[in-house]
Amino acid sequence: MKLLRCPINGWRPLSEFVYGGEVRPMPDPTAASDREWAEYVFCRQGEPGVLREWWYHVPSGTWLVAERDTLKDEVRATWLWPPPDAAQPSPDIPHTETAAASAPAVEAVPDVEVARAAQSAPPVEPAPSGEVARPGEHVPTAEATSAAPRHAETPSQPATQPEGGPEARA
Amino acid sequence: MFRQPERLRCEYDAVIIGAGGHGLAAAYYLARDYGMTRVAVLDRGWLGGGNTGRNTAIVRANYLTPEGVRFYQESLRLFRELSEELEYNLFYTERGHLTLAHTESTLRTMRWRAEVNKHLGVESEVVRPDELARICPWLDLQCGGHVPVVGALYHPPGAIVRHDAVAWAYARGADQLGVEIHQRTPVTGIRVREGRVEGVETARGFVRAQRVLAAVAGYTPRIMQMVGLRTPIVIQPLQACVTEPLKPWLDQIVVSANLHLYVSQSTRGELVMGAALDPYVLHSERSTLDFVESLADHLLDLFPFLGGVKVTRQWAGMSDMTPDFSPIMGKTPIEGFYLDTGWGTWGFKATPVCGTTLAYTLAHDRPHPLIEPFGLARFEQYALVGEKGAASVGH
Ligand SMILES: Cc1cc2nc3c(=O)[nH]c(=O)nc-3n(C[C@H](O)[C@H](O)[C@H](O)COP(=O)(O)OP(=O)(O)OC[C@H]3O[C@@H](n4cnc5c(N)ncnc54)[C@H](O)[C@@H]3O)c2cc1C
Repeated sequence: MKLLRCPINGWRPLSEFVYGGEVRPMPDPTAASDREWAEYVFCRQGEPGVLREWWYHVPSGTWLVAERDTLKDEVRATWLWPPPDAAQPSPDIPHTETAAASAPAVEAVPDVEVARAAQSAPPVEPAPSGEVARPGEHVPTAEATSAAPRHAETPSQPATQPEGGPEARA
Repeated sequence: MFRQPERLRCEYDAVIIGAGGHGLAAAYYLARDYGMTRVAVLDRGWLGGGNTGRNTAIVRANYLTPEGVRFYQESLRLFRELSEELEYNLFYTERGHLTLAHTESTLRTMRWRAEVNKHLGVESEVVRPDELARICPWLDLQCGGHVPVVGALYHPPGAIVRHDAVAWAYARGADQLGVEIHQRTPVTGIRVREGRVEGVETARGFVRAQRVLAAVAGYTPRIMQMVGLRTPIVIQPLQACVTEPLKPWLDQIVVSANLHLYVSQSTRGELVMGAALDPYVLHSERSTLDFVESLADHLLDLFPFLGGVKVTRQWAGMSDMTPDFSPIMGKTPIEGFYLDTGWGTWGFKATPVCGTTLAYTLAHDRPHPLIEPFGLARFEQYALVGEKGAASVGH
């Protein structure tokens, strides 16, 4: 069974997750030209490579970011939003206690504010109903999370340290 | 059946990347209709080894948008006379295509589709369960009680065609007219100067060409990277499988979007089945046990008596998906560089009409009227052609 590491709940079967698509930086909507906006809304990094993507852990309602090789289908790391700066080397470290300890961006349970914000804004593509044509219906992704309102009813997450290192296993 | 030329020339009038059905059909019509025979079709692997040889061979025209319906209607017209045109038996058999509705909202989209179809002269009708039982008596309309069928969209012209034969026949036809088909010739780069295409780099050297058409389905993003253009295309695997052969019993093609399943019986007796796309981006043709398990589960909802039938083979193809479930065809910002992509899970049925319209487009350097709505520029114009409601299975 394929597993993915949820930063809150640890290793879980992939079937518990829903895919939310590539993390994409949003241009300033007031400054962007129509063309830049269309590019942001529609275009994707389609070629194989290492991508940062949104995933949603359904049972606990957790949005997370995974860094995944889309050719080999190998997840290198998962984080709660925000992931570490792209300039930093990705914590691609073996699955051991010490390795995990040396990868703070992955291991740290971020402050609850951020975690909740990330959970309450679904950065996901249209629901897969398949019934009606909905041209151009897209929900902005990454950015929505930081601006998302806090939902008082968001269940508090267990503040346990996730086990193991950042790499997912297949 | 067709020649395998040894020498790759250093220049052609047109180079077509991808010897799938689309690329081969385009080459055939370029030669037949426009006398353009200095054409090379290049493939990284073998002819028809991409999605053309992996699909479930369903052909239909019961789409949702007028743009789509007109286009697929023309494809069906071409398909009907194609065996004769290419002098090759393509086993084109009209079966009738049934899309089941398990909810009222699905039925509503079907009424919409039926009306658009009929308006444009495509046979399509919403049928109620009693009529459905007459058309396909084997269906368990109760689906074991939990998702009863409330109606269906019935499209009598829905057909099955032998997919490999379509690729072979176009290859032979093109070859006879002088087109060269080079297998095992991957394109590794595309040379562009001052906004004009100059030719392609291949594993066997540079080939000059004023016109280059990329018809590479699941490899489109890699080709686009070579010319530095971004597109909305993402790649997701689509899987399929067949059972052991059974005596002929299922005439129709049966589709249920709610159950993520479609099934037909091949002329060899196998049940040919598919489901929804794999749920995330992946550049791979691997297949999975999850897929067969959930498909079998849903198949038994519709046909409980199939419990003892064995699945013998399964496979996958890389689907080039667009956000509006319509293709991307025609010109690009690079002069002389044309695209045929975004065919995702539904492009086999369009093979002949892609051939004729792409040939026109390359010959005139102007999109054929039938493909105007499908240009790459539609995204920045926010003029999408939403076909998701006509997709075979929920995605
Ligand atoms: C499982 C499955 C079921 C399907 N069922 C149906 C169906 O029932 N009905 C329907 O209408 N459609 C169906 N489809 C969709 C349909 O198969 C495709 O849309 C269609 O076959 C695409 O044809 P093509 O010629 O464009 O691409 P392909 O047949 O994929 O051809 C592309 C070719 O390009 C070559 N290529 C790629 N990169 C390079 C390079 N760099 N250099 C040289 N060559 C290159 C590849 O080797 C390949 O041969 C299905 C698809 C799948 C995967």
